[in-house]
Amino acid sequence: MFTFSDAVLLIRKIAVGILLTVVPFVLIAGGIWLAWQLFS
Amino acid sequence: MKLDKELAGKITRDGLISVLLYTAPIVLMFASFQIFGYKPWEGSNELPFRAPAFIEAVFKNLSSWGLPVIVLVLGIIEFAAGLYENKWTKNERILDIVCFVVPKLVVKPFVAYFGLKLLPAILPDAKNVLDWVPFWWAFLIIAVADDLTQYWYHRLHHQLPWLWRFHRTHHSAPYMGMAMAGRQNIIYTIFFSQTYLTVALTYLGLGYAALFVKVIKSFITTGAHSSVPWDKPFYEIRWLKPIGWVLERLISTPATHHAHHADTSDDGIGYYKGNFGNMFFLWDIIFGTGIITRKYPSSYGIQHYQEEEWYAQFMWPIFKSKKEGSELAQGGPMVGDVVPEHDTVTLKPDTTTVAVA
Repeated sequence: MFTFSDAVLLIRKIAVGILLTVVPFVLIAGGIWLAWQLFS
Repeated sequence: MKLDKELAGKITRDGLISVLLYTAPIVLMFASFQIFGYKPWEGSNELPFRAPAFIEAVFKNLSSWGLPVIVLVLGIIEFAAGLYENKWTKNERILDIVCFVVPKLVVKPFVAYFGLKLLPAILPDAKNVLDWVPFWWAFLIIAVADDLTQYWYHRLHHQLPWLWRFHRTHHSAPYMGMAMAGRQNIIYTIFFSQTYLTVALTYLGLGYAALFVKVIKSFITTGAHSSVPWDKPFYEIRWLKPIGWVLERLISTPATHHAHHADTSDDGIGYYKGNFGNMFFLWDIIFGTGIITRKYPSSYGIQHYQEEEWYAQFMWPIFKSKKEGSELAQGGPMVGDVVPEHDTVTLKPDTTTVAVA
């Protein structure tokens, strides 16, 4: 049976997944964009 | 179950090092632009890089249907050669086949929604904004971004006890080979961070390079799970040894990845608490989470495996196991083989106290 604590676990797991997507994306896309603005 | 301080410190330290690793290709790219006075964003008369048509067609076909067919053919050869004998029970068979087929149908809608609906809604003006990035730089950026992210996703599922059960299915197989290469809990697969990161970078215009990274990475990771010890000649043939030394530190090999799937680390060969690299083993070298022995474990899986029902392994926590005491059962332990640290055992009658590590 899927319980409330399972739902909490799932949300925490998805949060880790989002964090591991967003942080590298910001570093890479932000890094390229920033350097592009600096050098152009 | 609280994360111990030393481990939390290592994760923090390695996370900060990762910031440098993610941005290193970008720093190198712009340094090269400066040195050569090159400003690709201003446009040029050159056409954008395209691989030769034949090569491009090969990679596109491998990416869509070729790789699954290769895995299937190798799996049939392994089965015919008796690799799975006595180990591939009906339950394991169903689990492996379901894990091979279902994600191909279930994951795509998630990824398509993210790439075609969510990203245009969040970043409407960013589509192809970085398509001026030269191919080989895009290749390096994607390779590092994708694989370092998967390293972290994988490592955290081993080192954060509350995440372990989402990854356990991949480790419960008592054999290595094509049958278990894609064996994962569906929730682990759906939320693979590197998939969404690569889709997001593709949206920005780095997609052409992503195709080539994906295929090369698939070959390396499939080879690392393979029952064929293709790396062995690199350790035994004299003139190949220098290449082997570099290779085993750069990419995952059967020796290093099989060690990660061993059911014990007592033999000095197995190392399931490290060797987290997928395409690159280099991350394990940098973070000190890897060991290299050039040997292959004699047994695989997890020692507390109870052959839980295939549906529980595939769908936990939506479906639970009925096996009492299982990690996948209702109210089961978070990690089934935890050795209590600093337990004190009192021996009678002479009341000697022995610390158990």
